[in-house]
Amino acid sequence: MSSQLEALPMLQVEGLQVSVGDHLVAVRDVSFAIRRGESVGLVGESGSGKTLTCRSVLGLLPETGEIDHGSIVLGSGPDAVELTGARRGTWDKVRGTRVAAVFQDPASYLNPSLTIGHQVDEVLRVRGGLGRRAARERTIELLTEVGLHDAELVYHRYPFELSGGMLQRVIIAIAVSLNPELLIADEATTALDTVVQAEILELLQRLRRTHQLSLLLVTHDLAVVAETCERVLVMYAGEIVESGPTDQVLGDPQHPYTQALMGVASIGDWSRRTLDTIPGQPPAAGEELPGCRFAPRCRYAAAECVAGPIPLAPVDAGSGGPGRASRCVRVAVPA
Amino acid sequence: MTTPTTTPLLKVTDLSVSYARPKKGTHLGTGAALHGASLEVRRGEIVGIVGETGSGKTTLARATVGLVTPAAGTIEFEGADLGALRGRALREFRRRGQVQLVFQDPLRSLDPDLTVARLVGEPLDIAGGLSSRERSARIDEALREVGLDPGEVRGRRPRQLSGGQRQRVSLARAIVTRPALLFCDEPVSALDVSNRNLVLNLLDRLRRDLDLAVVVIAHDLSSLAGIADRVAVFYRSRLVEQGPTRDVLERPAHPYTALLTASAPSVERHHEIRPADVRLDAEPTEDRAGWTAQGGCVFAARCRFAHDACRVQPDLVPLDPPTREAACYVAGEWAAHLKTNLTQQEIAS
Repeated sequence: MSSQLEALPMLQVEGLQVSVGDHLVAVRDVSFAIRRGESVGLVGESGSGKTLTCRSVLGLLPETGEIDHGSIVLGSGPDAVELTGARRGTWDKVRGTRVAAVFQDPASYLNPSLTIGHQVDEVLRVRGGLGRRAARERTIELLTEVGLHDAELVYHRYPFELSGGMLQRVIIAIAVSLNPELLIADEATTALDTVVQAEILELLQRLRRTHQLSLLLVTHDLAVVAETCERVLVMYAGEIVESGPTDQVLGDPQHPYTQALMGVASIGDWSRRTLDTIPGQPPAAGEELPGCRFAPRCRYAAAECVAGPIPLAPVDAGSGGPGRASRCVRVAVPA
Repeated sequence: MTTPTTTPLLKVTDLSVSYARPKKGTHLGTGAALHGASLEVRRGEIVGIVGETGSGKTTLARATVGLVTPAAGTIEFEGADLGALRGRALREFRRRGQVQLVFQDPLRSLDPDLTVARLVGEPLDIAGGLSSRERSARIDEALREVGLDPGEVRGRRPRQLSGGQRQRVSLARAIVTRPALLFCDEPVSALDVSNRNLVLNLLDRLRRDLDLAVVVIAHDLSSLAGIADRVAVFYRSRLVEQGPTRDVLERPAHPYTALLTASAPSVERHHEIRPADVRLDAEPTEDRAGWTAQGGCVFAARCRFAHDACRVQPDLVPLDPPTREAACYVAGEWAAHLKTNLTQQEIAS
């Protein structure tokens, strides 16, 4: 992080609270920042609020979803835009051009009756203002860049003629076509085969460097974050419970939930063993608990854990370093 | 652990399945979903099956339970040839429920309108011959076996259960007929990691408690490695490698297995081989996809180590030790070329 530019946040989320349905709070007090060119992993089980968090950033909350309070600022300095409560006009200038997203099921985001080329061209012509010929040339460039061999042939193919991995590459080509600053990948590799997943993750890393993208990688798989992200945010039941540089968080997890997740993650060990599990179930969305939301499943839970709200507190420099935080009372207790 | 002297419970020999005749001039290949696959499973053994989408894993499961008719090859169960069963004998075999299939997504495979008790009891109704008291007792027994409290879940419907509970109901439904073989098609793919491990541990316990033979199709290599005794790797309708799980995953013999293990994400990197080491970087100059269509090795188009011999599909042959088999001319040998960075020509010569 040598230059001033890189240190500036590309995305700053502060005190975000999102509720769904009948005022059920599903995301609580979520704060994080992503710097330019940085890759951040957002990890959690299904129902942890990770998808609602990134959908808030995209302005794509479900109809019943609502941002109760908090702020989401994209960019910094003169380019900064507040996205909470933004109007349609603002979103039109931001979505696709400054923030882009890739989701799990690529086939459902493409029109089955139009060729791949048509659909990439369309974005470049309508949003990018390119002419027919320029758009076509740029499309072929983009398709090649995302690792599709014979881009000219792929250009004329329909979605059903491509595999899931190829479709995801097309979606990524569309996502980066307007040179966004931030790319959100929400479970973008979950449905893919192991080999293809590794290829797509490598592609995202390469694009991050060549396009100076900031990457927010949302996944339930800690192993994916380990290989891809510089920093990690661990979410549980709507809250960030631990954050920090990936190697430090995974090397020395401070929150019991992160420790439990490490136990169940793929450890690259091919030997026979009893597989770890996390006992119990996460609380239902919106369930109000007096203290730590992981306490009912935590092996270290004590009376102080449920006495009152637990803040996300910095972790001592001794056991971590700058930028580490954990939402656990044990952090504050000197060892 | 298995004793190799026992005769296999399931013996699949040279099984081929074809879904459709391909149209002339299309590049869809021969239409074969499974090509000469052989697999043996013994009682009390867990065999894992890995491979990409469309590699024939599910077809093998479907053929074994009799949902598709093989084009060639035999399936023997307890020494009897299933392909020879007709009419009454076949219906009788199915009714006994000795082979059960568990599907990936319990929300889709369980009738949403039925209670857990009805769902689990259904296979017993088909088998018939039980009094309602015996039936009820068997349902409770199956539910307890999968770690569910019958009193609590009997009256619930699938929607009212968590993902892990639903998959356990699927398992209870499968074991209620006291089967000898369980075929699980991606049983944990739809679950969170924690529930995933819970269900896999459960399978591990069931095979011990009930002396079941279990075949698990999965794509999460790490979890599978925790419970499977042996693993079979499929690629494009062919069985390309099989052997004891840890051996195969730690020292893969087939280049595809190597690519698979190297690609598996991990919180700590133990693998020595990286995906880029075994991946074909540039498009091959020859039309290697054409080789496959003309009877060449199925992996030729993506293989870094393909050479002229690979124009003919290699057979699955025993390696050293003979518990392992692979279908590759340079099985295991290619690893020696990794660090020296030889060119294609040097490997070929």
